[in-house]
Amino acid sequence: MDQPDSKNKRPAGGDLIVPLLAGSFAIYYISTVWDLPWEASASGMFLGSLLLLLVALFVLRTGHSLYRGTVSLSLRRLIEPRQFQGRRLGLIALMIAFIAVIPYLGFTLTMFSFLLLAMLVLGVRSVPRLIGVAAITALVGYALFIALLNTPFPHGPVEALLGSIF
Amino acid sequence: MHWDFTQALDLFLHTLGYWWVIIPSVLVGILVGAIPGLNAANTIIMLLPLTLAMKPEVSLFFMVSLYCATHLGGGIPAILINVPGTGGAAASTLDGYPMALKGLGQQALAMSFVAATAGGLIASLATLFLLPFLSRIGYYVHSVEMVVIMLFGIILIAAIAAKNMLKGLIAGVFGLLLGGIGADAIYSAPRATFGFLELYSGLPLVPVMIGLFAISEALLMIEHEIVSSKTGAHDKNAVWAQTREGIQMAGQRWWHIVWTSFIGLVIGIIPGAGASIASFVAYQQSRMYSKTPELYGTGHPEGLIAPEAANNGVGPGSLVPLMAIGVPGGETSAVMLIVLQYQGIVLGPRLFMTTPYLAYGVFIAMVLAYLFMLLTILPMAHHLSRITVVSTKYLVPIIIAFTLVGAFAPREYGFDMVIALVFGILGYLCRKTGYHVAALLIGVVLGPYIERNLMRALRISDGKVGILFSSTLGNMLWAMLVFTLLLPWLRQQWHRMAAAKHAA
Repeated sequence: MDQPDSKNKRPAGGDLIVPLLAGSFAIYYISTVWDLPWEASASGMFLGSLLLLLVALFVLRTGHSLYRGTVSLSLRRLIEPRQFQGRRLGLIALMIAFIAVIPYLGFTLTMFSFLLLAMLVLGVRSVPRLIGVAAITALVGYALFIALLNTPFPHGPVEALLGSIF
Repeated sequence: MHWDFTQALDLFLHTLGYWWVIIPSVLVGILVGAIPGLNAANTIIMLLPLTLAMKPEVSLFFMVSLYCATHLGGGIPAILINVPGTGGAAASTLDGYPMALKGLGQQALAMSFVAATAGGLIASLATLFLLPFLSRIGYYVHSVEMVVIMLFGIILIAAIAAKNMLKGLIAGVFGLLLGGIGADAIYSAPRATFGFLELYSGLPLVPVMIGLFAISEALLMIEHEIVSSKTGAHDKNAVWAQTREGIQMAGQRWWHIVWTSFIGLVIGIIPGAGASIASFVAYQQSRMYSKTPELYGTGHPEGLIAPEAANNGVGPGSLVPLMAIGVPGGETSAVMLIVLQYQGIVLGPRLFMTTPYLAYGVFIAMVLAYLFMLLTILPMAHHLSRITVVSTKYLVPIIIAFTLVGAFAPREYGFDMVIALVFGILGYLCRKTGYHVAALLIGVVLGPYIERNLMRALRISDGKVGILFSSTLGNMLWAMLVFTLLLPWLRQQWHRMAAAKHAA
């Protein structure tokens, strides 16, 4: 059988990530219901076993394709186009920071800071636009969610200041 | 109540007198529905000081109009930026967003508005006239029948991901298992909670939906300058032409709107089922009986019409058990029940005899709300669709920021934002590697329902599986399920035979 060169092989490494995550979760789920009465474990045992079976089938199928030389374990499909990876990781880091600081800075200030930094990460360089869009969006969010709908979002210095004025 | 034309007209005019409540409620509802994380139930709760201060009739019309409008509003971001505003609009992303990508965002919006309002109108009118019969459906649907109905949803998982059935099944069953996170209903034993108390009541749906759809989409969106393709004409002069085209597309498929809105109505009546299930079932049924199933998922009009009509058909249906027997069919109707009980209104059959203006007025208010919605929202289709030409450098941060706080809103747990982020990354991995996020979401939605109903049935029968085939209605549903499974194969055989005959 002809072996296609590595460039022509379909990159299937990324396709294995979700089944492996799913399989790991199924094992964890089954371990947590193993000692429970049947009413509490039946559904999980059945679904967990079914999921493990499906994952095994997928891994076997991928293994067979690897043996035939039609696929590779490359992660190319997942990581390309590469020029956006930095921005994507920057956004994820900013989201983690957003979740971490919102209880302290409150909704409006966190929203303003996140928007400003996220636009900067995505390539907006005009300072008036950065500040203008971030400030207007954060204030619209404040007016809609906190002033109008009274949504119980975390309060911080801006909410305290605006609350004392209005 | 004995119906005659004069009484019906009198009731209609009486309810029309409340236009000043219905119109603002519709506008607030559309806005709320379009914001992921906010829905009719939590908005009514947030506005409780206002709702409780109103007269019973005003507060009921306010809540009902807001409820209907959120169903329509949820479809707007689903079509334009692949971010469903409500769970019921998740199925609208499947064909709505591909239409927006092709530059047909305005047509898709206009078509969805017509399908949604027509679906809601048909279901409201049907409810109004068939209420005594419809209210009995709830009596016939028990845990066994519910299990079969849920299985329809699981078949859909495979159907949606037909390009790679195995990947579709892995995503769907993974979702079902994720839906089983939390304490079980009988022993309260924690299952797969990773030690987090916040997960004892199960995986919260809103953060999961926000993660799978909004965050993951935003992470992908940065690869493009704008959402819409450059080939899609966005003619500034064609304000009405594209809207008119969308209306025509919906009008040509009027029968599709009718039957899918009835799917929504019937599923809405069943307590516990809801818009998410109804819209996916309608999508699956639409695809199953379509002559061009291969076009679904590529921006096919029927693929948008079906879930939108069903999503809005659910509204009137879910109020049937509430109004007829005083049992709330879902989250929003439960909140309505609490508000009305506070105001001294006792819901149930007597309400239709003692205060028919209130009881029947609810459904007439729905009809009016949908009529007002159509008139107010259609002219906005062009302006709304322009969001697809906003640079993603601005759009992505705004989507992430608003949806992350949207994940916080329903339960007010900071932890729910973490869930949204985790599912956002999972959704991104799924999208990049060809696993359907909708299949994962359906699994998470259906997981707890299936388990609850299956356990209920098995406990009644002392663990005997035979109970699943013990009811006439259940067996009819099983037969329909098998037929639905076999239909694509039967159709293939039919075409093959017809082709052979033709060749001969």
